[in-house]
Amino acid sequence: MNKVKRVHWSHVGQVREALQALIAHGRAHGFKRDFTPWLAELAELRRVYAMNYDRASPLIQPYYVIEEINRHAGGAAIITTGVGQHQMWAAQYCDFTAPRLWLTSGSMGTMGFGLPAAIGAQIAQPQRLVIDIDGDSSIRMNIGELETATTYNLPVKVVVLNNFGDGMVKQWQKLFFKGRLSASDRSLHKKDFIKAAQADGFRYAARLEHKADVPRVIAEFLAFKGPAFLEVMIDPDAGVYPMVGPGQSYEEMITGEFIPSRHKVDIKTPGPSEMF
Amino acid sequence: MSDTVIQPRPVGHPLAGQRMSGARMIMQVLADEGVTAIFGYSGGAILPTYDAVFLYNEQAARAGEPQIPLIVPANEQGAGFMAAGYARASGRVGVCLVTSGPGATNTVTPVRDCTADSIPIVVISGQVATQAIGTDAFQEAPVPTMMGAVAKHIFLVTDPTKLERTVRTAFEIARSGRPGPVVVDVPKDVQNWEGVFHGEGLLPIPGFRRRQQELEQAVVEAPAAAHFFAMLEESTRPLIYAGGGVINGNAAAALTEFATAFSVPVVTTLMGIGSLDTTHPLSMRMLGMHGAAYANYAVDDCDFLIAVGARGASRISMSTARK
Repeated sequence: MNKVKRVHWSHVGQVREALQALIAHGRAHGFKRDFTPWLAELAELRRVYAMNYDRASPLIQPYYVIEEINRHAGGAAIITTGVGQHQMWAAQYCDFTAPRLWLTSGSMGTMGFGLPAAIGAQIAQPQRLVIDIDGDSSIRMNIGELETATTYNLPVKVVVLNNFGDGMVKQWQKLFFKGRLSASDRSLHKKDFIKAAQADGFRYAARLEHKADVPRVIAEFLAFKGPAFLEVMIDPDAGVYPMVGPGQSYEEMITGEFIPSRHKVDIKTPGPSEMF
Repeated sequence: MSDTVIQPRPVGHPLAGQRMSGARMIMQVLADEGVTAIFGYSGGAILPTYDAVFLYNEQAARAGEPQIPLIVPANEQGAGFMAAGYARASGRVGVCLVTSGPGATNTVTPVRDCTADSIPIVVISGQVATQAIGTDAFQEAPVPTMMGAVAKHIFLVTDPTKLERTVRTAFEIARSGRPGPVVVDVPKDVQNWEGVFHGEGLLPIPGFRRRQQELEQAVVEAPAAAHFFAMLEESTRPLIYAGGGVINGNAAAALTEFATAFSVPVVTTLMGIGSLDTTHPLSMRMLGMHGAAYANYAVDDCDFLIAVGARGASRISMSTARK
C-alpha cells in the first residue's frame, strides 16, 4: 500500500469479502450515480483506438492467427503462453469469459512456461480446450515436454508463431539499439519444428505458410481429437503495439501504424536506470 | 505433542494409529489434501516416496478407488510448470515431486515464477540422508538456502515425527493469504523412517496464523464504506483497475457484480485478465506497457482509479512521475 502511488482510501483484507461488503453497503444506501456520459466516452475510445493491424499484408500477421483461434475458442478455452511478443498478442486479441483461463508467466516472464503449463492445465481440466500459444524461441526452452503431451495422450493444441528469433528482443533492439540484432535473430537456424513434433509422437503436425490457408488450417488443427502441433510462419517484422516505453507516461504511448494516437509521440531511448 | 494444533474432525482418519513409513505418510497427506495428480521426476533421494505413490495407486486400483496419476516430464522445470498450470487452471494446490540436487535446482525457476505470480504449489524434494547433509554428497544441493530466497516458505524435515504435520502445513501456507510455493525438503532417512500416522495435526506457526486471521477479520466497516461511496459519488469518471489478486482470491464474480451494480468500467492487468469477462460491455481490457490504447487512455482520463487485487507493478507504472 502506498508503495507506488499514494492512495486516498484503502482496505487490506480479503478481496471477495471486501467487494461483497461494498456492494451490500451501496445497495442498502441506494447508491445511484449516473456515469452514462463517461461510459459513452469510453465506448468512443474503444471505437476510435481499437486494436488493429495491417490487414492487407500478404504475409501472415500474428494478430490474424490469434483472431481466428479466438473465433473458435469463443472465450472458453484455456490459453497458455511463453514470454514475448506472442504472449502480448494473445493477451490483446483473445477473449476470456471467465477467470483461470488465461495462464501466463506475468511477473517473472519465464520463457518455456507455455507447454508444461498447458499440460498441467489439461490434467486439471480434462474437458476444456487447452491451447498453448507459443513462440519459436520460448517453445525451444522446454520442447522436451512435447513428448509428455503424447505420452499421456493429452489433447493440448500447441501453436508456434515462428518469426525466426526473439521477437520482443528484436523489437527493443530496433527501437533502442539502432537495429543491431545482437544474438536475437535465428533465421539461419536449422530447426524443423514439424519433424520435432512428429518425432515426439504428434499425429497432427502442420506448418501454415500461406495467408489464404489460415481459416481452414486453424479449424482443422483445433478440431483434431488428440495432441496437435501447428507452426505458423508469421511476418518476422510484426511488432507489439501499443507500447508504453520504459520511463514513459501513458500519454507517450506509441500505437504503431494501424492504431491512431492522441498525441504525436517521439520514441525516446530509455535512461540508463529505467526498467526494461 | 504439546506443539500440535489439533484440527477438529467429525470422524477420525481411517488410518490414524497405523504404523507406516514417512514416505507413505507424505503420500497419504497428499491424498487427504485432495491432490488429483502429481508432477515429478524420480531419482535416488526420492525413491522411497515414488514407491509410496506406486503402493498407494496399487491399493486404490484394488479397492476401485481413484488413483493419483504421476505425470513425468522431460525435466523437473517442466514438472514445476505443470503443477503451476494445474493450480492456475483449477484453483487447487499443484504438487511437484522431485529428487535432490539437480532435481531440486531444476525446480528453482518454477518456484520463483509461482512466488512472483502468487500461485499455490507444494514441492516435495528428496534430500540426501541427514548424516550426509553438508558433505557435498552425490546429488546434494543446499535446497533450504537456495529455495529459501525464492519460495513463499521452505521446510527441511530433520525430525521425522514432524513429517506428517509439516506436509499438511505446507498446503495450508501455500493456499492461504497471498498464495505461493512451499518447498518441503525430506532427507531419504526421514522418508524411510517408520512411525505412527495421526491423520491430523499441523505445525504451530503462530505468527503466520495470527496475520492470516487479522486479514480474514479485516472487514470494510460502515464508515469506510460510506467514505468510499462519497468518493464514488463525487467522481464523474471512475475506473476499476483489477489485478491477479481478484483471480487468486476467487473474487471475479464479486468484481463483476460490483462493476455492474454501480456501472463502473474495468481495466485489468495481465494477471487480472478474466476477472471480468473481456466481452462484457464494462470491460476496457488490459492496461499497461502493452495494454490496449483505449485502456491506457481511459486510465489517463479517469478521475477515480479503484485498484482491486493489484500492486502497481513495473509493467503498469512505467513512470511514476505524474500524479
